[in-house]
Amino acid sequence: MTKQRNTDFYAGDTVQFAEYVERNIRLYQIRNLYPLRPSAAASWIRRALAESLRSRKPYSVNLLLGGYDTASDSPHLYWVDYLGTMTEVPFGAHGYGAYFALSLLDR
Amino acid sequence: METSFALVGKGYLIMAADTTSARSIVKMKIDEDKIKTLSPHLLMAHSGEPGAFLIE
Repeated sequence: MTKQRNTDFYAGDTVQFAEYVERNIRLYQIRNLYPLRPSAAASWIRRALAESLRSRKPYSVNLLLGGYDTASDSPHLYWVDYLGTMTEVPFGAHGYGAYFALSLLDR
Repeated sequence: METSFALVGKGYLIMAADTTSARSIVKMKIDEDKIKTLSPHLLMAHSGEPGAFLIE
């Protein structure tokens, strides 16, 4: 049993957006009998965020999408932020930890 | 603020995220899983302002 406590001071609902994405990716798999490739999933998620940003109550969610493309046998990582910015990166981080991580890796 | 990391290597990818759910100085949860498995080959780390807290 899950209880939900609402606070409407912030535009948020990060978990709700993640679950929305999860279910849509799953729906695609069920309908088409094969899963979305990482690049396609990233594009779909980016579009969902971009449309949300232009709505009355946008989601402020930052994402890192990692996937292994079984067709080309290569891993991919996509950095996505709440403004609908998406880029493929070799490494990525979000939040305050990003300052530490990127100062180590970004050279 | 929450933190998440990910790194691509040769033939693999690793992802890590913290597990706190906080608002300002108040920690609401310390066991929040912020990495979702979307499919057998897809992972998504999400961070941001929680609009609602789900209490199990």
